[in-house]
Amino acid sequence: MLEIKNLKAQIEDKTILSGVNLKVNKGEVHAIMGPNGSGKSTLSSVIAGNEDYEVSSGSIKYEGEDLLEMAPEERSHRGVFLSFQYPVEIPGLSVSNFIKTAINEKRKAFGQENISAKELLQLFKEKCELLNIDKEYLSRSLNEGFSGGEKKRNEIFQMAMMEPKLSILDETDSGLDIDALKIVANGVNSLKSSSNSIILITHYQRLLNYIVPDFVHILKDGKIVMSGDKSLALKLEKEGYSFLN
Amino acid sequence: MLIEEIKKYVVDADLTSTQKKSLDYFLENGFPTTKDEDWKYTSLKKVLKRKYCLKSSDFELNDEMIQQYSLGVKDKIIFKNGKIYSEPKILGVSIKKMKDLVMPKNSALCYLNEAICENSYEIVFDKNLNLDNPIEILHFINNYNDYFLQLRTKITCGSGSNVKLVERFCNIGNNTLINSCMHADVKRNSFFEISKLQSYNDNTHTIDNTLVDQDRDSTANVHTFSFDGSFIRNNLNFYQNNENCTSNMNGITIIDKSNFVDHHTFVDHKFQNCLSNESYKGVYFDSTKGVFNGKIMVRPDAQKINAFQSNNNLLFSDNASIKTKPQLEIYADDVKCSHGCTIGQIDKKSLFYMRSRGFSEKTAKGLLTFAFLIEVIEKLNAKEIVDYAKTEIAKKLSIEKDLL
Ligand SMILES: Nc1ncnc2c1ncn2[C@@H]1O[C@H](COP(=O)(O)OP(=O)(O)OP(=O)(O)O)[C@@H](O)[C@H]1O
Ligand SMILES: [Mg+2]
Repeated sequence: MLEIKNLKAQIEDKTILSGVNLKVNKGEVHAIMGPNGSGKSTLSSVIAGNEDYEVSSGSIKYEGEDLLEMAPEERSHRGVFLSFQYPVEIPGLSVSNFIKTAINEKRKAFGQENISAKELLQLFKEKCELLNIDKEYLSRSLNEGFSGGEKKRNEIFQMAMMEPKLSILDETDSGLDIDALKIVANGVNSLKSSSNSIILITHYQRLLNYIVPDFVHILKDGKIVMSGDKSLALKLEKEGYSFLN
Repeated sequence: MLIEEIKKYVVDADLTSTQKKSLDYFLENGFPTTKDEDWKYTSLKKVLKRKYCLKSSDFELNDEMIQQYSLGVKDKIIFKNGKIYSEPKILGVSIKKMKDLVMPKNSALCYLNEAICENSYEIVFDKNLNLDNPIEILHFINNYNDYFLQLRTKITCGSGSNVKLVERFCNIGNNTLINSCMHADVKRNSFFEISKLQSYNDNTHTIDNTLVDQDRDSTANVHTFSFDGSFIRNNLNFYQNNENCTSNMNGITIIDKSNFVDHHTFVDHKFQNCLSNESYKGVYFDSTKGVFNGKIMVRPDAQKINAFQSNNNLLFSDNASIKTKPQLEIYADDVKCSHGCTIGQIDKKSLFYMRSRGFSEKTAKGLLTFAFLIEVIEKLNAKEIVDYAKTEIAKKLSIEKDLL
């Protein structure tokens, strides 16, 4: 599904990613942990296509194709989804119109007709139930005045609506209360299948109790310095990052 | 020079004594220049350089042309080069041609208009008349030569009346400089609303002077949509002449190429317990220039006034510019007054967020711009106007209207 080789990225003259290697197969769940400022969000931004970061060397293959050649919207159309650590607020654009347009832009890219009102309504209903979301909130402006937790839940709601192949959840658990964490984790689990993959970025082992990863990686100073199975997260929780030294 | 043309033109014109006085005033003062404080950023030089004629020629007008410019509302007042062409038959609405129509003036251009306009009309809406639907005022303009046209209309809204108008200048001919003066006399307890649709062709240069006098308990709304036309200067003045008046001004400006739009507004709060509410948003592409100057005067006896003003702008190009200036003169102490001007660009983070959800750059920019404008659109109540605004906005942003 995704193959990152020796990826280096910088902003202005500052190197942030200094040679990341990562391979994610279909159906796998990978967790990426690491200290603040180690480059986790930068890695997810580069995968999603943020042009602020300059890729100075390395490659990213997605379903066998060169991901770095694609515009952000094309990556999205092909199934890449990033749940943002800091989702943006867009006053004046409703959640429902935003999601409807996102779905239709993808359909347009594949030469398909717009989603019918009936189909859309059904999908909204289903996914609202899945994530325990009040339907009223669909008519609110996107993320405007949402609490931290609501913003995160809204990201997963979008993920559920768009059914991506590769989802990167950047600290989706931060800001969620214990009940919300369970609901969101259940939602994510129900979207999981043998044909899609998930990269979870998190600081806490807690999330990994709900969404169990196949692999855990530690990113430090822009590099993956250690990989293991889920027990690595437990070790980290106990000992902190000091054991890396 | 245009001044010479004017002097030649009036030799044969049969001016009344008031018109003569107005002419003298104009000739003494001439066209405004950038030395005038109110015209500091707005030069008429280029516009006045052309050779215009002041005499109009006749032309054919057909239904197809009318349909093309109409919003599809039933009742229309149609003018041809300023002369009345057709009017609706509505009980309580009358249109009279006036020989000597004296109106308040706010610049030398109004004096000139008073002096040489040959077709002045008063449109009277009887008291307690309640119009369900807006009436469309369409000015068709077409001349054999480059043309300097005067339009002059007085609107009287009788007490207790409810009047909604849509106004549009449709130049289908050569280079035209329009100098339009409108005076609305909004009587007691009446409601007056006019939407000005400024979607002109590139040959059109417009100076639009709109003065609104309001009596007690009245509401006046002026919505100005500036989308096309090489040069637009709007002078919009409200005079609150008694208590409990409400004046609302909304503006949406989206311009491209090297077009120019200047909004000069003025609200004169003379009495207590009144409100004014002004919200102008502008989007500037290419090498366009915008000017916004919002003056609010609160006179010493005008207590308990609420006056709100905002002007927000998005610049889409390094070559586009906007000069924006609030001008508050407050001489009363029990007043709530707020104003805010912003100039910004499309937020890069929002743009990336949307693209990462599959929005093309064009759609993302278009929807972000529409979201920026929505506050003003939500203040429009007539569905024809909302529809017109959405159509024009979608066109300007090159996105499908269905997305809005
Ligand atoms: N746009 C930017 N401009 C300047 N520096 C940046 C930018 N984006 C990231 N950085 C820097 O790159 C480094 C990595 O940032 P990044 O956000 O990827 O870290 P992170 O691992 O996600 O941290 P956290 O756990 O706190 O979310 C940090 O030092 C950060 O300050
Ligand atoms: Mg981060």
